[in-house]
Amino acid sequence: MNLDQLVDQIRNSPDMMRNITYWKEIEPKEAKYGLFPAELRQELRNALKKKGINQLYSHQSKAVELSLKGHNIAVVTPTASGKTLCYNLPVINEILNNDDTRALYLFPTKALSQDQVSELHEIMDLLGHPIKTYTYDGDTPVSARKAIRQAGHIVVTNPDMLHSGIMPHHTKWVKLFENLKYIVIDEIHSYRGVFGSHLANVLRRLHRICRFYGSNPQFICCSATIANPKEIAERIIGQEVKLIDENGAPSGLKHLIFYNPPVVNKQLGIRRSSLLETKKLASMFLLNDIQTILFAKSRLSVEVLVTYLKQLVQDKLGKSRNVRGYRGGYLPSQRREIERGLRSGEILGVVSTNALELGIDIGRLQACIMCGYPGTIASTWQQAGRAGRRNDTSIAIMVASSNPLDQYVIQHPEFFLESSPEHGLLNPNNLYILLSHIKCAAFELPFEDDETFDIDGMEQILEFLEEEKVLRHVGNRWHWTADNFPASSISLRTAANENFIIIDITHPKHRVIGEVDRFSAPQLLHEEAVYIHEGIQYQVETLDFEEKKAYVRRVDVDYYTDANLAVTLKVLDVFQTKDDAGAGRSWGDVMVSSLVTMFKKIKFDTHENLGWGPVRLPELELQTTAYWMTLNEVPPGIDSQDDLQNGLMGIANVLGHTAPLYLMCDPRDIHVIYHVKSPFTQKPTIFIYDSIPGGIGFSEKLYELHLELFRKAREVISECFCENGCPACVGPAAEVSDRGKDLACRILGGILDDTQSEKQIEDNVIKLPFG
Amino acid sequence: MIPNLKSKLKTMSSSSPLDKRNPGIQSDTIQYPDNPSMDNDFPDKESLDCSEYLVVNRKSADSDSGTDLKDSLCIKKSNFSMGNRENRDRTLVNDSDTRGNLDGEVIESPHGSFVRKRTFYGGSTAYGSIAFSELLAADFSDSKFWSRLNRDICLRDLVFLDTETTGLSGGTGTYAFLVGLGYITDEGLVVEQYLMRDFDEEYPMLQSLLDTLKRFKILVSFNGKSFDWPLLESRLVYSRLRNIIWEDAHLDLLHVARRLWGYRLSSCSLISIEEEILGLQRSDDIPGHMIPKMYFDYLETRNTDVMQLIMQHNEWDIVSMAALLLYINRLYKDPEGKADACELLGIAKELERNYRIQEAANCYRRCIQTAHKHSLSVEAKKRLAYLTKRHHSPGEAMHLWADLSSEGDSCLIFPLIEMAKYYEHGKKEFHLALQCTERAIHLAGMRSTSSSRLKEELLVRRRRLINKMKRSM
Repeated sequence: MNLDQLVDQIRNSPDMMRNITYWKEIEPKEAKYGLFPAELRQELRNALKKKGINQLYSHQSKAVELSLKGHNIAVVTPTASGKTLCYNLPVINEILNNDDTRALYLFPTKALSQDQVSELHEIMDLLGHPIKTYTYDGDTPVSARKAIRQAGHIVVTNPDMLHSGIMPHHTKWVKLFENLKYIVIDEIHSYRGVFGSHLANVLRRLHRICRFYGSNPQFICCSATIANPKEIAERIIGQEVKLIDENGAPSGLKHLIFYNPPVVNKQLGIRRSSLLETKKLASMFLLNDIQTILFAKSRLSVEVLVTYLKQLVQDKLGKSRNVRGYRGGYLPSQRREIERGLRSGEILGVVSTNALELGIDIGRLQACIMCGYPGTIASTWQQAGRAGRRNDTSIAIMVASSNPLDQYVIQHPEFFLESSPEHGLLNPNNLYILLSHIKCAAFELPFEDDETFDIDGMEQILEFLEEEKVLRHVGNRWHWTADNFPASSISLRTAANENFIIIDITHPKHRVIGEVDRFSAPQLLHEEAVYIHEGIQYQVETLDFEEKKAYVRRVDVDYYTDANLAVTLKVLDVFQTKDDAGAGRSWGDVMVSSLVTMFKKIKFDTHENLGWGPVRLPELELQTTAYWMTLNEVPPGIDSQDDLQNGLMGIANVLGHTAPLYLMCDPRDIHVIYHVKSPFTQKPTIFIYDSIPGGIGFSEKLYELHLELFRKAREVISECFCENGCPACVGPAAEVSDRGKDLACRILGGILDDTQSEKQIEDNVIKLPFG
Repeated sequence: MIPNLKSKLKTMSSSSPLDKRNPGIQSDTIQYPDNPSMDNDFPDKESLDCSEYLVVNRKSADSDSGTDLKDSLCIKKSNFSMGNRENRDRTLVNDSDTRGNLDGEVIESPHGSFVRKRTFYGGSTAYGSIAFSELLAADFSDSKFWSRLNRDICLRDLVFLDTETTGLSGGTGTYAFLVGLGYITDEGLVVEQYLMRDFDEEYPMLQSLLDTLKRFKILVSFNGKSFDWPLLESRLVYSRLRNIIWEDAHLDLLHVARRLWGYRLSSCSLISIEEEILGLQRSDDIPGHMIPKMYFDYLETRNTDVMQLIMQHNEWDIVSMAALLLYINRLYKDPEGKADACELLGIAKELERNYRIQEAANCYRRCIQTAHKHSLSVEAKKRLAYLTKRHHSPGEAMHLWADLSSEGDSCLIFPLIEMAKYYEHGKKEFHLALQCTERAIHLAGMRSTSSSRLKEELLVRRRRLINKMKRSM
């Protein structure tokens, strides 16, 4: 069957249609063209024609025109709309005008930058003009680096390398910085949260260096569809940009389908596992030889799905075509091989985390299945866009999991379609991040007394750093005065920059198979954990916590492991606090300690619990910001400590999934915990903290939202079809008791202070009976 | 823009999670080596004739200098003392008080001041086994081949350079706060040290340093190609001063030393060369990695004792380089008379690289004769064999291959292959060639490390030899 036939088959299958809550056909779109801008040189137009490009799409034409006129631009381009021309044309044009011109291309990942270089070389060949383009990253041989520094017209790199490999050595890059005309930032939407906050500071540093060498580069930013591309670009580069968001590229017919797994136990509110449903849908495509990409939300689900599908493909198709996994932690060479396999068609299916969401060139796939709502509207469109580039029919299916956010989205398709995609949030003034970069900046060039680094209170910060003995004020400058290299200890990607490496000791010759960041290590690499890599199971034999190494051995078992995390939270400082009738709100600094205490063994397929074991690992500490709500009075109907506990747990479960809707962040970026009686507030309290050291701006935003959060939570709970609570709202009844839903609603009533009139409340005031 | 900046900063003092990952910031307590008498400008009295050692221009630094700059400094600092900070000794006016009274001369320029110290080593000064009178008389003719410079060394063209820096990992935030130069005059070696007593003295210091450096044609350093010079280059770019391009007029003694002693010394640091080769022992020296911290300590406390230790260390490095250059030159002048087996091997390689075949062969032979270490003589024999083979003396090569393969417990394969080649192509004695090949196959089979390609080649050779034998029968 081809895809069109398969689509008809789905449409005619009542079994399938029962679970499909929403089906949208996105009509094919004709291309819209624009003119070659007058400033574009003839030889460049000729080269394009040789490449078969006789006219530009409207957005390309506008981008090139505005760039050549000297504006900073941000181009919003869906997958496969020919965005590379938007920046390559102005850059090459300028180099043809003046051979001294230099440009810097920033891509969030190495893989992307390699793609771009090969594309650039193609245009160069057609031009017959020697424009030197080099990738400069950790993989660049030392012997080649000098030539790149001197002669590269276009230096392709990533923010990390710019931060730790280029800027701290700017005196070796004089040619580049003196002549820097364009800075291209691709995939700018991916610089949300920590990474974006870092990048904004990296660019603040870059501006200083450019000023020192007398250049004033212009920016060309490209973004996928998000709500605020202009804002995020402006926050990152610290300058005004012109937005180009009309896409002139054509697209084929696309089916977008929401699929909700059937309810298997109404009482407990349990639906069939989204993993198993995804497996079922995927096998339908794969067995019909339709190249499919699957997105799963965690490394674990990626590996579980790869295991399932590999088996299927092997049984039914023989070994000729393959299913592979793709996620962070795979080695670069492995990733390149998988990308090639996808382009050549050798790989039939790939299961990925959001790592493949970005514009890595993997060719055209026909089908996309998302196992679980990707967390944001923007990500959903990005992932769905992986299927069906150009003119063919394509299909994208989202399979909802039972978590409340998924269930909310799948039951409210209008939310998905009508609300704008998320805002990218970033906070360049996160003090941890800011301080790190001020150190790096001072290392690069001493600060002058009147420099602001685009922030208020710069002087206070410089004085603070002088007290910390890393800066010294003399003359009218602040000099770096420590014998270390600040950039080397600051990672732009994660809060914790020390990764654990995973070593396979099955064979006498040990080899490194992957790595895991510090905060995830206790959960994934505790001893006896089953670590799945490329669909192969490994058991962790020893975890050397000091040396950050996990030694694993291949095993073949029918279960996977899942670790429990115990979290304690301590308030360090309150920045703002306000008491309302039902509930108080505050935000401030907190210290969160997390400890993995035990793990469970869970059987494949049935997902039943096969046993458990203890984990003995040190506690990890995280200083961050949190928002918290304190319940002033226990509302009527909450008769015991247990009731209060179950009710709060239910609300916390819901908040963990609905708060991201407002914050427009990934659910993993925040954590919700509750205290029946908080040692700090002495009252029932729910905390929502940023999972990033120092916070990334969520707490302040939550403080503003406050009651709105709880209104939304109540809406989700009361609209849920279950009886007493289910994983889609307050959590399974087994966890929150069979009054879970009711208890949560009562407490929410107390928080929102609107279930009863003021008078009644006065009559019914129940002083906290316990705690 | 940043709420509660002050209180947040307070919570972020050195114990913040970020800084935990920054071990450099936690200041270790500095322990200085015991130096019983700070007055001894050079610690190792035994090895030096101090009578010739004198400090020129030892002038106290409390001259009435740089008033403009000092005034501006005071204004700036008093501005800052308003910002609720502790009252540090910021109001002091006098340079020598604020910046410490150091040996040497305070040099004033329109851009500020810095300290320059000159020390003089006369002809009768001895340095370990090296006397400086020898340096003045040394003959550096024919030194181009081993120095790999663009010309033979002429003493008056040389400038020795060694820097002390605020960090060891490089990058634009690393300053060279002390630069020592050494050059030779009719009277002997002059060590000239340029010191910035604070960051604002960098520019005038570099300016003056450049003026001096420009007078010389050849730069001599120890590890300066990858460390000192790039770092100074970076400082010059930052200060927008014109760079000097040395290219092949830069002699990095580390590279020369590695070629001579790489086999013998586990570390080719200047200190271990002094100890192992020049027969010197520094006393009261400071470990190099402590220097950045010691300088910061000096900036903070203006304790000049600390600074003097650093200057002494730097001076020692310069003098050591001069001695080392002399020592190396002596080896190359008369390798068969002066050098030991290890040095001979290095010298021979260098000769071979310059196509001085006869001399190289002699050095290899002498090395083989004198080597105590088996690995050294094996290496020399191997190189000599290839050398003689290439230069049409197959008989000697053959002799060496046989020697290498028959040595007691030898399980070397390459001499057997070479012998097989010789018998097969040179002598046409196929059965002898086959014997060698068989033995090589046997050895390769025993060794798990031999590559499959090697084994395959051997089997091909065997097949070919058998065929040739059949045909010739």
